[in-house]
Amino acid sequence: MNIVRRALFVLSLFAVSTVGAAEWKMLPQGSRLGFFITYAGQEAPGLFHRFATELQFDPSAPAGGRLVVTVTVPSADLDSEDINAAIAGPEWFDFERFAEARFVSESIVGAGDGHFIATGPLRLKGIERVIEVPFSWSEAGGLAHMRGELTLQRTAFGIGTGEWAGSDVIGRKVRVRFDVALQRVHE
Amino acid sequence: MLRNTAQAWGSVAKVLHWSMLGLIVVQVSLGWAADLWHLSPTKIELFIWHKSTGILLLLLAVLRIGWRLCNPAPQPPDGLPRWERAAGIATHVVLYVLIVAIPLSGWVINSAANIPLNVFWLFPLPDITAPSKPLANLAARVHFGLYIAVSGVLCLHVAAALRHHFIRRNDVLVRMLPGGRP
Repeated sequence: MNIVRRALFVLSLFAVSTVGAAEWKMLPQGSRLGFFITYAGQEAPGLFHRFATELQFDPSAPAGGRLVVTVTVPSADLDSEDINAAIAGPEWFDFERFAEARFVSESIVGAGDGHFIATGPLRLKGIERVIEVPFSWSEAGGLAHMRGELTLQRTAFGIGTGEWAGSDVIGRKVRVRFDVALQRVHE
Repeated sequence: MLRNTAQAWGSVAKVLHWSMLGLIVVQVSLGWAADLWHLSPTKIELFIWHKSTGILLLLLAVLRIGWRLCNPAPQPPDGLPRWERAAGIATHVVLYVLIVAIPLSGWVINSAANIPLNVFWLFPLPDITAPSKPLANLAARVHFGLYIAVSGVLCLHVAAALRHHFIRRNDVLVRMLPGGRP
């Protein structure tokens, strides 16, 4: 009996923690998912025009939150037709085979002063790697912004294969920057 | 002697003349190699060298035209028919226009195609046009057309120099040579 009670108690904690986190809806107009590549050492900005964010989050209880970001990879845009055509190919993003990238948080922890870190697997070009997504949270009147920046190694996801993998003409580090506008969903 | 005189080219003019010839030969080779190479890091590096050399050539061309404007050019030899004198002036004006226009058209291609460029891996080159694929295509055709034009005019320039030296037997060629006396 004791064990059953304990199990029920543990389960109830889980139930409280997920139900307690507020549901947020992304506002696509105010949201940006950008990245910076380097081209012979010079940074060039890019953008994913289409991505979706699902978030359950309460900044006072981050552990109960969950963040899922789904990116439409072929919406990548480096503001150059030539470069956009090149990154579509199998050596780079391989749009045809891997049109979707997805990050799913397994934990969100507070990092102090309105900052948090979501950790979980990012699946990109068919390769899954656990990454940390640091973000800041600001909220007012049912509207919120989550902003953050992280650096990924493109080669860890097989982006830029063959000769490109061994070359730093197109830098191996890619800076990702996001600013997601969110609206609290009222139940 | 740095400056030109009525009879002789100064050393500044000679250095600009021959260094640009060397760079143009390198530049044409880089341009063809970059264009023909398959899409790879090497192709991008060849293009960076080509574009960087182009910007250097543009700078030299501007310096050269500035120097030419504030220096007298040596006089053409006496007894030259009027048409030869006119052809010489026309050829040089066209050459001066082309050595500015060719790198500029390349800069337009790069800006319109919106390819980042770190000149000699040292400093970023600003864009001179907004991104536009049709403009990039047009500028690429102009760039190639001007390259064909300068190749023709340079042949004429060399042929004229050799004609001065071997047929007219004057000092027009020799006075541009390093160490050549008027």
